[in-house]
Amino acid sequence: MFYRLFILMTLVILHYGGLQCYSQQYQFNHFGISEGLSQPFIYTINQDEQGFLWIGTSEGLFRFNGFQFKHFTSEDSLAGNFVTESLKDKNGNLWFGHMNGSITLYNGNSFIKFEADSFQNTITGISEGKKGNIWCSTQTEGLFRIDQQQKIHHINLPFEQELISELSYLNDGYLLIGTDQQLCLLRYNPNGDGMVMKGKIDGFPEGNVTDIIGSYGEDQLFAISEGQGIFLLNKKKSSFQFKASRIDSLGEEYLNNIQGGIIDKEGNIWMNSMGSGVFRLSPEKPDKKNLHLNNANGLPTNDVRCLFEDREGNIWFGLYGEGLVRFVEEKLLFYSYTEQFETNSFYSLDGKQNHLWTGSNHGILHLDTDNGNVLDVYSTGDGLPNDKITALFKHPGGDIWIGTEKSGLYKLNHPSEQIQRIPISSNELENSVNYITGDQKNIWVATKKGICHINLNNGGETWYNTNKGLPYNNITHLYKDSENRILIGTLSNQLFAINQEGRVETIPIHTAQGPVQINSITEDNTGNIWIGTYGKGIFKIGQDTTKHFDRETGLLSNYSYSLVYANENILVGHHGGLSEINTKTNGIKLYSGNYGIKNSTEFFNNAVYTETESNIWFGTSEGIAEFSAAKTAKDTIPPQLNITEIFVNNQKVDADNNITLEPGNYELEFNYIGIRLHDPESVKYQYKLKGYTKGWEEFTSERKATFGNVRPGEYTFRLRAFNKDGASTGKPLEVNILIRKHIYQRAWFYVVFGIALLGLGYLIIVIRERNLVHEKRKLEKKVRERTEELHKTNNELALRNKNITSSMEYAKSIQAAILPSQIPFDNVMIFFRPKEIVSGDFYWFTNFEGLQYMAAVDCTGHGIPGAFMSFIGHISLKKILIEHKIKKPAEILYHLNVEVARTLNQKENDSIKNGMDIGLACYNPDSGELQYAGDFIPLWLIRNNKLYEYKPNRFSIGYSIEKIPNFTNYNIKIEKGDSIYMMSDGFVSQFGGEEGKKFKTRHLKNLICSIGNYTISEQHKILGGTLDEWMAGYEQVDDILIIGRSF
Amino acid sequence: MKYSIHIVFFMMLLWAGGFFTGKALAQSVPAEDENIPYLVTFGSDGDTSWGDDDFCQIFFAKVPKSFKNPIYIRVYDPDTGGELDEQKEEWDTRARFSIYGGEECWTHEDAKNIDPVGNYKSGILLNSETFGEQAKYDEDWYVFGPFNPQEGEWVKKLEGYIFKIIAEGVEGDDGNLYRYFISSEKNESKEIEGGNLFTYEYTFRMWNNQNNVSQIYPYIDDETTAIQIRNFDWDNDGFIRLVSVAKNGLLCTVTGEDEWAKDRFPVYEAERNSSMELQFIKNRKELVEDNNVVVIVQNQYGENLPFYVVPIGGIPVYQPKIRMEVIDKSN
Repeated sequence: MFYRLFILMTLVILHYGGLQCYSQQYQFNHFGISEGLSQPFIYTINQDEQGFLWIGTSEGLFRFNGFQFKHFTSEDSLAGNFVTESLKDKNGNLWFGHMNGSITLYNGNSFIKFEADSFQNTITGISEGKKGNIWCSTQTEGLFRIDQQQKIHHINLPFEQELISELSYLNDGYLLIGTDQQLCLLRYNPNGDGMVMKGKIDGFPEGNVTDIIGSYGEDQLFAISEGQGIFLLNKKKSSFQFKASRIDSLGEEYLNNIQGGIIDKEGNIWMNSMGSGVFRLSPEKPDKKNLHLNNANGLPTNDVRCLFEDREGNIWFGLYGEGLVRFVEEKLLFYSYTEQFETNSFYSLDGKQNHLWTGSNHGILHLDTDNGNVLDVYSTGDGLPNDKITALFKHPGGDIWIGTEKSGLYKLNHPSEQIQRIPISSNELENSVNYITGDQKNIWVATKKGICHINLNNGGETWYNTNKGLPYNNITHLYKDSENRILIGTLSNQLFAINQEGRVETIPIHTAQGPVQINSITEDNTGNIWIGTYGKGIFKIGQDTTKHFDRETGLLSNYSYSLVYANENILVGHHGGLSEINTKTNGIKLYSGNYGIKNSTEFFNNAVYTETESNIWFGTSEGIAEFSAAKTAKDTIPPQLNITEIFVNNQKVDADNNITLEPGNYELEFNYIGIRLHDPESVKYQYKLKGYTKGWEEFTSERKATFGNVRPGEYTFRLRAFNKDGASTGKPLEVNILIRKHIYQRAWFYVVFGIALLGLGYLIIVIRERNLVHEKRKLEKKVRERTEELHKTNNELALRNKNITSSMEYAKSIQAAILPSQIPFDNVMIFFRPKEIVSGDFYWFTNFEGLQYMAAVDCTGHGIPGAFMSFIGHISLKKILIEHKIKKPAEILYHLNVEVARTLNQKENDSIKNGMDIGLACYNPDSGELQYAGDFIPLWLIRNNKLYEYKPNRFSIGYSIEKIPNFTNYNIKIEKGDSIYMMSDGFVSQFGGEEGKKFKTRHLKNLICSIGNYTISEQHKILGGTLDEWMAGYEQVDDILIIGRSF
Repeated sequence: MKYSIHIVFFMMLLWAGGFFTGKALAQSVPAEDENIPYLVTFGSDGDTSWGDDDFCQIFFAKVPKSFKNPIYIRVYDPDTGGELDEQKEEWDTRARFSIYGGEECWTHEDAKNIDPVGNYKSGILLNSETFGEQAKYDEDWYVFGPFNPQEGEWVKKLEGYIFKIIAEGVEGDDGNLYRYFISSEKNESKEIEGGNLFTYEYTFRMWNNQNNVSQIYPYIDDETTAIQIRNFDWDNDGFIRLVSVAKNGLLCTVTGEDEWAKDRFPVYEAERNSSMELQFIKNRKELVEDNNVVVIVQNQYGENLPFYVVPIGGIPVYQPKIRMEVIDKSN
C-alpha cells in the first residue's frame, strides 16, 4: 500500500509538473468577512459534540452552525484571544491552545481557563494521553500536562535550545515530540525524572518537524519534515521504536511549504501548504483523481494553514488571510479555455465517447474528456464563419454538423477535417440555427424559421414551418424519442412532433398553463417525455397525466435551458445552477451556490453532451462544466440537533432540559438548529408540545417554534430533525416544562375546598336551622301573643260588630219604622235594595188633605250616614208638609233644603257637605194632575210605551241655605194607563254585564219602558231579575231605589 | 565668501541626502533616503576588525494596527556568495535569518540589546531559514511569510505589531551583504501603509563612491537629555556629523580600525520627540573601500535609542536662532 502511495505521490509531482492548456475550476464554499467570519487568519478547526464547527483565529474563536458565525473572545472567558491549536478529547470536550501559553477547555456549555503562569510561550501541540490527561507543548518552555482533576503539571524536556513544534501522545507514557531540529521519542515517568529521551526516530532526518499526522493505534502515523519529505513511521513490533521511511517524491518547492495534513474517512490523504494550496491523494481509490487545489483552480489563496474533516465528511480549509473554505464535492467541475479563446462561454456541445466538441463565439474546440486537454481548435482560418457556434451534432459517420447564429449550416468532414458550408436557404432566419440532431440517414436542423430536414441518402431537403402545421417558426430544440419521432421545442400549448412518415402530429400536454415556450425536451427510461420551458417550469408527460414542476415544488428556477436524463434523474440547466429531479420519487436536489456555482453562471440552451450515464457535459458562461451523475449513496448522517435558545414571555431563560415556571399563562419560544454544515437549508424539522398540541406538526424549515397562552400544567417540547434523505436524529430532543398551578387550580385545593365548602354549608345549615328554630319559637310566641291579641281584638271587634250590627239592626228597624210599611195608595211599585243594613235611599208615601205624595230620596252616603240623612229627610218632609202645610212639591223642596241645611249647620264654603237628591211627586186624584219637583232625580212618565222625562233641578238638598234656587214644579195631566217612575242613581250606577260597565240611564229607560204594561209584582220581578243578571258577581255599589205608580 | 561656501556645501549635502527629492520614504532597509547600500553581517568565525562587532544584526518591523492583510518580509541576497558579498578565502559562511513575533519579541529587555546576549531571541519564532552559498538568491529576494500582523507583538506605545528580524552568522568568516523590505505583497516590494523598521545597532557597508553621503536617523524621545554617539571600526573614513533642529552638523569622533569611539551631546527641548540625522561623509582624500561600520546612539542612561528607516518627525532641518547685537550709534 505504501509503495502505491509512493508511486502516486510521484505521479502527483509529474502531474503537477506537466503543462495544462486549460484551467479547471473547483467549487468551494468560501466564508469571509461578508459571511460573518471577521478574522481571516485561521489556525485551527474543530467540531464539538453538538455539531458546531469551531474556528480558531488570532482574534478568538468563531462557532459556525451552518448559517452564522458567533464570535467568542477573552471577554467570554477564553484564556486568550490568539488560538493556535485545538483538540477534541474522547469525552467530546474541546481544548484550545493560545499564543500566550494558556489553554481553554470547552465542555459543551462553558469555557474553563487554564492559565499556567509560568508559560508565556505559544502552544504548539495538544494531545490526549492516558486516563484523559491532556498534554500540551509550548515552543520554548517545554510541556505541561493537565490531569483529570484539572491540575497543571509542568514537565521539563531533556533538551534545551530546541523549539517544540509538534507532539503526539502514543501510549504508556510515550510521546513523539517534533522540534525545529528533530523528531524524537520520549517517555514520561511521573515517579522519576519526568521526560526521558528514548531516542530519535530512525530514518527521520534532522530539521524542523512541521506536523505529525494520524494517531497511535491507527495503522498509519506520518510525520512531515520541512523541506525533506513526508515520512511513514513504522512501529517495530512489541516495542516503542519507530522506523521512518520517506513516501513521497515531491519537489522542494512543495515540501518547503507543506504544513500538515489529515487522513479522511475514505482514506484520502490531504496536505495543506503555505504557498502551494492543498493536495489530495487517494491511494485506496485508483479511479479517484488526485487533486492539487490552488489559486489557479478556484482556491481563494495558496496559503492554507490547517485542514479539518467534519462528521459529515466535509473537508474544511483554514486559509491564512482569506477565511474559511469548504471543499465542495466534485459533482460539478468547470474547465476554462481562455488561453485558446478569449471567452469562457460555450454555446454548443456534442461528442462521441471521450471526444467532445464545443462551440463558442470564436470557433470550435475538440477536447479529450479524460483530461480536458485540447486536441484541436477550429476557427475562421479553418473555414468557419466569424459567428457564434450555436449548434453541434456529431453524426454517427464521423462528420460534425455545425450550426451558427446567422451564417447557416456547416459541416466538418471526417476524416479530411475540411469545413464546408451546407446551403439550406437564403433566408436570414432560416440560416439562424438553434439546434441540430439526426441519425444515420437524416439531419434535422432547428432554425428561427422552421425545421430543415436533410435526407442524407438523396440530399433532399424538406422544410417544416407554420405552413406545414407547426404552431410557430422559431424552433429551439429537436429531440428524437424512442418512437423515432422528432419532438419539437417551440412556442405552443401542445407538444408537436414529426413522425416517421414525415407528418406533423401533436401530443397533449394537459396543462392549464396555456402556450408554453418549450426550450428543451428529453425522455426518461420509462417513456415519459420531459419538457423544459421558459418561465413555466418542467412538465413530465406520461400516458395520461402530466406532472408539473416549478419553483414552488423545489426547482431552482422556472426558466430552464437544457434538459438531460441520466441515472434515473432529469438534470435541468438554469441560470445559476442545476436542478436534479429523481424520476422515481420526483424529489429535487439543487446544485447552485451550495456547490460553489455563481448566480451569474448561465447554462446555455441545449448545450449538453451525455458522455456516459455518469458524466454529463454542459456549455456554460464559466467554461465547460463536467457533471458527475453517478449515484450517490444515501446520506445517513442526521443533523446534529440543538436547542439554542428558549424564551419565556420574550425573556431568555437557560436552555435547560427542565424548566419550572410560576403560575401564569406564558408564551414559549424555542429556537433550535439541526446542524448540517454541507447543506443547512435542507434540514427539516418536526416538533410538538405534549400537553398543548395533539401530534407532530408539519415538516418545516423554520428554526423556531412558538406557543402562545400556555396555561399551568406539565408539558414536554419534543423536537426532531431530518436531512434531505430522511435520516433523522432518532430520539427526539426533549425539554420538560412545568408551569405551576395557582393554589386554586390544584386538585387538592378543590378537594379541600369542597370539603370546606361542605363543612361550611353544613355549619350554615345548622346555624340557620338553629336560628330558624329560635325564630320559629319567637314567632310562635309572637303568633300566640298576637293570636291572643287578635282573639281579644276579634272578640272586641265581634262584640263591637255585634253592637254595631245590633245598632244597625236597630237603626234599620227604626228606618223601617220610618219607611212606610203600607203604601197609602195602589199600584205602587217599590224596588228597594239597600247596599247595607241601613240605607241612604228612602221612599216616602203619604196622603195629606187628599193629595197623594210619593218621593224617592237619595241621601249622601249609604249605610249609617245615609240612614241618618234619611232620618233627617223623612222627618223634614213630614214636618214641612204636616206642620208647615206646604203642599207644592217645589216649595216642599225649598223648605226641605232649608230644613236639612239648618239641621246639618252646613255653610256655603264647607268642604264636606251632606245632602240629598229627591224626586217628589204629588197626585191629585180628583183633578188627575200630578205635580213634580226634583233635584237630581227625574220623573219618568211612561205613556203609550213612550217614556217622557221630566228633568230635575240640579241643586242638592241641604248643601246651602244661602243660595237656594227656585225648584221647578211640573204639572202633568195624568191619563189612564200612565205610569210614573222615580229612582235614585243606584241602579244606573251598578257595574255588571260582560264588560263590567255601569247599567246606565238609557238602558234603564229602555227597561222601564218595557215593563210599564206589567203588573207591579211582575215589574218588581223583572227589575230584580235584570239587576241580578246584570250584577252577576259584581258587588252592589250603592243603594238602589226605584218607585213607580201606575194610573 | 566663507559663509557662502558653507551654505552651498550644506545645500549640496541636503540635496545629496535626498531632501529635495520629495519622495515618500519606503520600508526598505537600508532606506532609499539613507543612501546606504547594504546591511552587513559576517560569519561567526569572522574578525571584528572587518567591521562587524558581533556577527549579528537585529531589526524590528512595525506593522500598524490598521493593516489587516498578510505581510511578507523580503530579504535581498540572503545567501553568502556571489557578487555582492565579501569573500574571505572560500565561501564558507552560513547565515540564519529568523523572524520572531509574539509576546516579548520587542518588550523583553534583552531584545533591545546591541549585543546578542541573554534572551535576545525572545518571543515566538515564526520562521527561520539558513543560507549558505546559494546562487539562486544572489541579488534576488527570499520571502518570509505570509505573516498575520497579529502574530507580531502588540505594543501600544509604538501603535503597532512588532516583528523581530535576526540575521546572524552561524559559521564561516565571509561578509553577508543584504537588504530587507517589509511588503504587503509576496512577489514585489510593496509598502505597508504606516509601516516602519528600526534597529538599535546599525551595521552597514559604506559606499565606495567618495561623493556619496549616507545618513541614518536616531529617534530622540522626550526623556532624553543627552545622547552618546558610538561608532566602531570607521577606518578613519571621513566625517560623522550630527544634525538636528538645533545642531548644525556637529562633528563626531571618527574611529580607526576595530575600535570604538563615543561623543556626548546635550539634547535640547526642541530636539526631543523627533529624529536627528547622522551624516556619514566619506574621506575625499583617500578611498576606503568596502568599509563596514557600526553605529549606536544611547541616551543619558546608557539606553539604546532606535534608528528608524522612516524618520519619525521627518528629516530634521537645522533652524538657527537669530542673534541680535546692538550697533553703536556713534559709529
